[in-house]
Amino acid sequence: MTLSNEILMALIDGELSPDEAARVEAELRARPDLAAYVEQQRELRHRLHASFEEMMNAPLPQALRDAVEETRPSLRWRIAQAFGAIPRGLIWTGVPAAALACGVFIGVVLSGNTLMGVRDGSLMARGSLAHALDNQLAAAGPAQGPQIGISFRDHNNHYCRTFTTPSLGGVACREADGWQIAALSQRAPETEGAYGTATSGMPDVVRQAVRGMIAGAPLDAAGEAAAREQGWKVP
Amino acid sequence: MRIAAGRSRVPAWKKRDRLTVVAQVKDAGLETIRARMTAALPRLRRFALSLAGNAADADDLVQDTVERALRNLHKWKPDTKLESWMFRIAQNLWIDQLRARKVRAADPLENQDVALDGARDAEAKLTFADTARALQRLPEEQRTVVALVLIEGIAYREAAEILNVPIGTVTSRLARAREALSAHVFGKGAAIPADLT
Repeated sequence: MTLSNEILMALIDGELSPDEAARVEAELRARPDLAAYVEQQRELRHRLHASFEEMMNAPLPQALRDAVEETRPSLRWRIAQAFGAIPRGLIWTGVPAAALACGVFIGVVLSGNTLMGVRDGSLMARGSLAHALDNQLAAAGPAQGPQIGISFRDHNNHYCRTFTTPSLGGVACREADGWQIAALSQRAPETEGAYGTATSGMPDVVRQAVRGMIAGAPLDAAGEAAAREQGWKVP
Repeated sequence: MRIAAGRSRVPAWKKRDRLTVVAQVKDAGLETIRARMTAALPRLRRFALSLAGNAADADDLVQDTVERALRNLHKWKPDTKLESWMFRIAQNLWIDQLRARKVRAADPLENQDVALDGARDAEAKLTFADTARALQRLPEEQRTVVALVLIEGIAYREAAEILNVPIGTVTSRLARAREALSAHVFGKGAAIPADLT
């Protein structure tokens, strides 16, 4: 190996493998001038590092902690998280952020039906899903379209209902302006045949979300019918 | 109905909508990311200080970096290091600021002594201050490479990825920076031995 400035730099910066480093160090023993130069560069590195070391132990300003804890992640990231493994192409994200801020709906189209859209940063049920959430009783699901599972009141005292489609399972809660999707995930492939029964095939993450949301027991058939009569508004 | 968060100081619980809660249930993704960002703050502050030369500008830069990172979280590839991605954001933001405001880093001795407090005795303090001052005199692109490689201890390849330049650019900038820093810190006798140049 021929000593060069590049190799000495790599030695100082820890870029050489242990074998290479040992060989270079051996060659340096025959060149005291280069060895002194390497020592000097190590000292420079040490001084630079030491100059700024204090920052590593300094208390963190609250403003920085707040920025980490309170800045909302991008809407596109949240949508991607909520949708899990759904193919990207189904989520239309080519909408300027300004349009989102103005409350423009992004259509989320699944199986040719619009099921959900984003409004003001919230994912809302639309189309056949909104219709099913408004009207369908769990016991009387149609042969096609979204199926309703259980209905319950959450800790915010809103009515919420679980639903499944062939590819998705989720839970939506009734807000003043419609059904807001509170949890949504892709259904596991092996459960697709079980489509239609109450909460069968509901993804675990949605079940967990429901367990965290539910206040009391799910509505029985009479309670569900009464809630529908009231337009899913809590009296 | 929620309002776009903007820069307002709304309590965290009010900003946490249901969809975010789902993401937490799913794989604790967001809480993990926030925890990793908090863990990265000391290094980000050190990096920002070596770029900006004073603590006030450095912490503004770190705050902007955190906010931009979260608001562009969909651009982060989860198989890459979150910290490196944030270094890259910080570096880009700093360049933007330099261009937009023509910020020139102040003499670190005049309004900032964070970089100096670590030294125990006055002599060492002077030495370290001198080194920090020499760093501030480097051209921006050399200073950034020094901050990443010599101060943060980041490997050449990773530094090249953060800066989006070829690895050879990192090493050549580093060589020039070393020459300038050595001349400043060690005086004229610090030149590279002639047969290596």
